[in-house]
Amino acid sequence: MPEIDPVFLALPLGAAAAAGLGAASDAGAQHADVRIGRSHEQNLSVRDRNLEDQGEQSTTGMAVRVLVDGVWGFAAGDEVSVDAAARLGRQAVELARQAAPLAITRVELAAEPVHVGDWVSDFEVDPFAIPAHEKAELLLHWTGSLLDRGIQHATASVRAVRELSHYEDSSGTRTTQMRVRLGPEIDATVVEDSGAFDSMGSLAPPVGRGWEYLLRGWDFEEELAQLPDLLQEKMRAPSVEAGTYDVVIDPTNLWLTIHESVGHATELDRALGYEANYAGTSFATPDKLGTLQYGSALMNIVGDRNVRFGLATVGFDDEGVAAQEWDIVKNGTLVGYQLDRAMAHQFGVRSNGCAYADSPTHFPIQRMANVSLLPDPVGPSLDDLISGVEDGIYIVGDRSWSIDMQRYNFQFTGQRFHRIRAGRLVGQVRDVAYQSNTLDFWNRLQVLGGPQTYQLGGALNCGKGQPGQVAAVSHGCPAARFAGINILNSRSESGS
Amino acid sequence: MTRPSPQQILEWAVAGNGPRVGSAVVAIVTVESTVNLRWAGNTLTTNGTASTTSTTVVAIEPVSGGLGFGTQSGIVHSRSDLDSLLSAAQSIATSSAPAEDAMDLPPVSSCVDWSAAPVKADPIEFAAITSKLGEIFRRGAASGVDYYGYAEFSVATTYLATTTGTRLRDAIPSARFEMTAKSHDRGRSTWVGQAGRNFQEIDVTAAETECLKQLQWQLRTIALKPGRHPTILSTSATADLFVNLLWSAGARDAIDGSSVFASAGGGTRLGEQLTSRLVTLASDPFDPALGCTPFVVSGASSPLSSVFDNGLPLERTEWLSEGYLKALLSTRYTAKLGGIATTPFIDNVTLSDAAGHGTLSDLISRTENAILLNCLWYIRDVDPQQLLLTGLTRDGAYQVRDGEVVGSVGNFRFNDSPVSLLARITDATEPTLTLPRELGDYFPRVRTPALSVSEFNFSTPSQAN
Repeated sequence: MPEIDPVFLALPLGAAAAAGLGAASDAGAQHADVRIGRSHEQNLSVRDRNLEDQGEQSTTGMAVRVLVDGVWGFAAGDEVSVDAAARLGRQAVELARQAAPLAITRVELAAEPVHVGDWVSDFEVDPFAIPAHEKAELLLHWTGSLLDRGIQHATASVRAVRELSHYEDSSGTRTTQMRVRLGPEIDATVVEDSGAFDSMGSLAPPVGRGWEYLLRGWDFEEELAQLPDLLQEKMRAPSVEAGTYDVVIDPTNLWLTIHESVGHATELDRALGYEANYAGTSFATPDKLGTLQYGSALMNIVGDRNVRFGLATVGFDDEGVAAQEWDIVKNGTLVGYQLDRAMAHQFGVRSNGCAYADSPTHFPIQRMANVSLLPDPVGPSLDDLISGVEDGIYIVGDRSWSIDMQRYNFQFTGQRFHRIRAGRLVGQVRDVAYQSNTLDFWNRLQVLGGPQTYQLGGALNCGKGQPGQVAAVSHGCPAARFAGINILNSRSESGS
Repeated sequence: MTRPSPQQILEWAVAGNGPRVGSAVVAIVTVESTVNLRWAGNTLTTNGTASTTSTTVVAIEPVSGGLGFGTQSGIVHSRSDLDSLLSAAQSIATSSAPAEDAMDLPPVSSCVDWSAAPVKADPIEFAAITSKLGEIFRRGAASGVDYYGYAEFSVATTYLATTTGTRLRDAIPSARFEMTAKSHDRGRSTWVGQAGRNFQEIDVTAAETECLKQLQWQLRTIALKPGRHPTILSTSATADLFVNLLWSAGARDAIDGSSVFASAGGGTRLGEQLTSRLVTLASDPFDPALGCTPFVVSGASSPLSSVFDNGLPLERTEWLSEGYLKALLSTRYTAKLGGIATTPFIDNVTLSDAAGHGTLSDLISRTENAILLNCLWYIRDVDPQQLLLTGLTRDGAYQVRDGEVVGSVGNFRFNDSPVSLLARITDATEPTLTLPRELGDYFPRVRTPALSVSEFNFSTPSQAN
């Protein structure tokens, strides 16, 4: 297991945390927690055969969060020291007292056992240990190989993140963690003399892994060899006829539908209205727990902060709650939510560990676990899923996505769409968007693929909260078949 | 230990006596100070204050075939912290491939307030609104209205220095206030957003009045079928659509042929008439109400920005001028590549229609039949060839008949393009300061009119409210 960055460990973590907790307690806080964080992010991008950008950012900071008579106070800064921690502790208590007249509802936290421990995510090669020019050479090799195969324009980028955190609270929990994630993107564009253009990207998802992912975790060479022909076929493909189709959705596309229509819909803070001004609420309100028929009986969704290589995988969340796995949808019925400690207390249960702040200077809010659709243990292969469709479309890769503020109406596109006739793929169609209502869609789930079709997808940039925060999250799923889905022609939608 | 001032950090960075003497260095210090309040269900939920000082160093070094660069950002508490950043940036630069956008740094610029300290955001800024908010919460609780919202005051003070002698400073304050009001059964919902330079410019009472008016409008519901309908886009809805258009107006993509602003057969659509109406879309760093940093600050190169342009003065730019496409977002490099003017990104925008007059109320009163949209949400690209966007109406979609709002039509998913909308504008108000509902986090300095457009595409209904 890689060791936690010694530069981070050299900070006065324990002393600063003790000073922050002590100052907060002395000033009158009944609960206090201190988070000290350090994140490194590196972004490299190339365009055609040229380097576009290579930069690295690091952020270090500390926050003290307090509860004073049930009212939150929060103060943060970029200095990690005993004096700064004590100052932030007092400032947070002062802010809580100033805010008290506006706080009608008092906050209480669900109980959590005391944890003391370290945790490091599962990776082999620290991406920050690889020289920048070696990384750029790999990206330039990728774009060069696309250009050599007749593509007019190609871009490639990789974002690497190493996130360190030290957490202590007034109950005695003390945790130190380090996790690494990586997000590669490759895109090929073809432009015709007519002015028509289109692009197609790699299906490689971002992952909670190190640099080894780019070398042996995904077959980029094979994908790059196929991409030009697939894109040229898409350019020549007929425009889809709008209507209702049976669809087979590849896990490279379905993960995003799960993220939007299940992941966000089952965040309890949304369901209770806490995100009403910004990210939105949810139709899946607590009164429906245990009764709402979310999808067909094949649908089993779990929240999971333990899965290997998951982007939301941690040892402990940002409120000192140990990572867990739990049911969200069981045999098609809504049975669980994603919680932080305040929400869990309202719900009368233990938190399942979904608090996260994307920087030391942000307040932790409830963020998404790895929310995944389980495969049918004896389900079919992808070929068998397709062979069961008489007249349909096979949808591969994610692209455009949009869903309403209560998580009902959604619209997604993809990287490519293969027409299915009589159980066989017979060529691509283009201009496809699928549009549905969450409950209608998941109740149209007809066949789930087996474990051999299961894959982890994900995103580095899920947004929520005010001030805005981003989080990385993975979603595993098998390929799946849905009956009678509304397919739009995006060209017709535009009025063209 | 005394923390070094931004000016001290920058002088260390560009003095040339660091661990290695580089060919050129651009250094940027940004001091961000913010205070915020958030509430839900008539009670405060979170509040906080934060202050950070980040330093970005761009090292530029000669490499085989041109100039390489490396960028490092971090927190600097001491000379050795700065030297570490500089050394790492120079190491990356010397081993890098040549940068495509490499140029000499812009001519030397300076400012009169270089020595001024960073500006801090103080929680006292909220004094003007907290007591009013408390009263609004109490009135809401008594009348069955739940309020949700967010208030933020922040100041970003930026210092920029180069080894060529440029020394620039700018401080941009931003105040943002958003309020969502829902009937207690959550069957009705509306939103008001305001942006300004401080909370003296925010009118909390007016926000409450507007919310209550719109909740009243929603007491009556009217069935509307999906389809193309004449529509009034509020200033916020207009802002979200046209900020999307601005962000899609990159010169590089147009030159490469992969943009709605690319011309068939090569080149760009610059000079083309996009609408017969005298519509102008312009950005001006010296706008008295929307002032933003008047020089390029770039910690990274992309199709829309270049680290080699740091310090380049910005001036008023018309992207659309009386209906004609006049400029695309360009760096000095992409301008040279496409043989076009250098018109970098500017952090504000104003849309105007020469025939626009009156307020939204005036526009409603002179409209026979239209759907009025309060704001839009979850807007995403569907097809870049046409800049087709999809998204949702949110917190208020109303039927206007014979000059009056007569009821709520519920929410819809739309699929439409701001480029094609330009040619479908039928009426407009005077432009006013507004907050884009979706993009206000990233782009709060906007002035737009409310627009009447024909045939806005309501694709399918949404049950959300």
